[in-house]
Amino acid sequence: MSVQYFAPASVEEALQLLAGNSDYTLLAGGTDLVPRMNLRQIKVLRGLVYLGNIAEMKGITSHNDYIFVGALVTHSRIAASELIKEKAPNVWYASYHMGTPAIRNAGTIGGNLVNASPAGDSCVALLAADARVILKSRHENRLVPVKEFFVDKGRTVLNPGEILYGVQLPMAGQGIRKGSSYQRIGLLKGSSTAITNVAAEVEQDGEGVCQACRIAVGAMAGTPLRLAALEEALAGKKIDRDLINQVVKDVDAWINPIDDTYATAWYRRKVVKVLIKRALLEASGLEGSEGEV
Amino acid sequence: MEIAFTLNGLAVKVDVKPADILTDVLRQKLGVLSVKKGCETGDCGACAVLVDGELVNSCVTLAPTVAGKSITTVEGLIVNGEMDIIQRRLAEYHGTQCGFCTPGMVMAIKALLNGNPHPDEAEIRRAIAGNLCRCTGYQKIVEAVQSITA
Repeated sequence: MSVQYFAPASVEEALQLLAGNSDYTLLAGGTDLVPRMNLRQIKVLRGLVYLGNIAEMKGITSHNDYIFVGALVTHSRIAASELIKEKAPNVWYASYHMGTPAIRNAGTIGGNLVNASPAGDSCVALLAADARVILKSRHENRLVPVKEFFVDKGRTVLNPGEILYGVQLPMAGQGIRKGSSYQRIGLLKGSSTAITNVAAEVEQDGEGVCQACRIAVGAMAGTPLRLAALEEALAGKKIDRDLINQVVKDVDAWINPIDDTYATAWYRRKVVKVLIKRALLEASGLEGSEGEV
Repeated sequence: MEIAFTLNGLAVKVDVKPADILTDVLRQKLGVLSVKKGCETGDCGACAVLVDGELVNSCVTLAPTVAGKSITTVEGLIVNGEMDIIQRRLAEYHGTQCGFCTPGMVMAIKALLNGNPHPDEAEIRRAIAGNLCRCTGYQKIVEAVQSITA
């Protein structure tokens, strides 16, 4: 089996290549694809399209009401970005704590999204950030909310011939205090897949009334998941400990945790409630963040 | 396909297949045996090298993607037969026992010190979090790095 290899220098060139060969495999940092090749899990590989030479997909730029992060931006770059740390702390946290130095130097935010792991660290942060992905094909650009991006484990709405170009992180409006919190638990301090991860963003007015809130969890379904029922239960109310305790009790009905070698579904069900509670307390300003874990 | 890149300061050209793994190309075609094949999934760091100054696991890097780039391995740290201070201190402080993780560990420490000449202990441990060592318990490695930066 001979594999074709291309390293286009522009998105246009890459889309042109894909137009005639929609079964070619896109390669960015390689941290998800190459291990699968090494483990002989890739059965068919006709062509590789290496995206690493496309400079325009490597930028982080600030716009009026959103920040653009190119799909090829590595986790190291995000972890080193003061802008992301200040404006999208959950997205920063996910990249800062992901994998190992060598993985963060290679792995990209776009790769984390298209890999669509149910516990993808950036996926959960981007869900809670209400981020949008830009999907480019030869004839069309689509702007898709991350909430609608994941279909199932390892599957997204990305069509053959389409490239995930970048991510837009919306910024909070004037007069809104946006708090955020990211909680994750893994087997090791460094370098481990999340047993479960929780990202929360809570937008409050001056009186502490919740104007909007987003809670995302990992490993609780086939895809990273938004907990809409809990969000609705908080919206329009003044947030306090009692309210948080009450909504967290209701989470059981909305999750179906994964059962695998990292942890049992039973354990995940127990621990996710603790993490959601911590996340909401921190994001609503009722409790400070705990020290670095 | 033929790719050209810089290996420890020298220009090299090598014939590779698109799906060839960088670890294999370095070991089998270019004779760089310090780069170890461990997990092949990017978890253990035994294969770590610097690509354009950044620490990368060569086992999850496809060879054609380093075309035009500069690769450094521990061999490249030896100048005029003299080992780098990281290599010497790891030996002096017993930061190496069986030695299998050592080349990757040295490159991780090199990447750390290039960007941060005076790391604290937490920063040292974070920098080597992707390099598994089953002998030392890491303490001697941390002490070796601290002896350089103190």
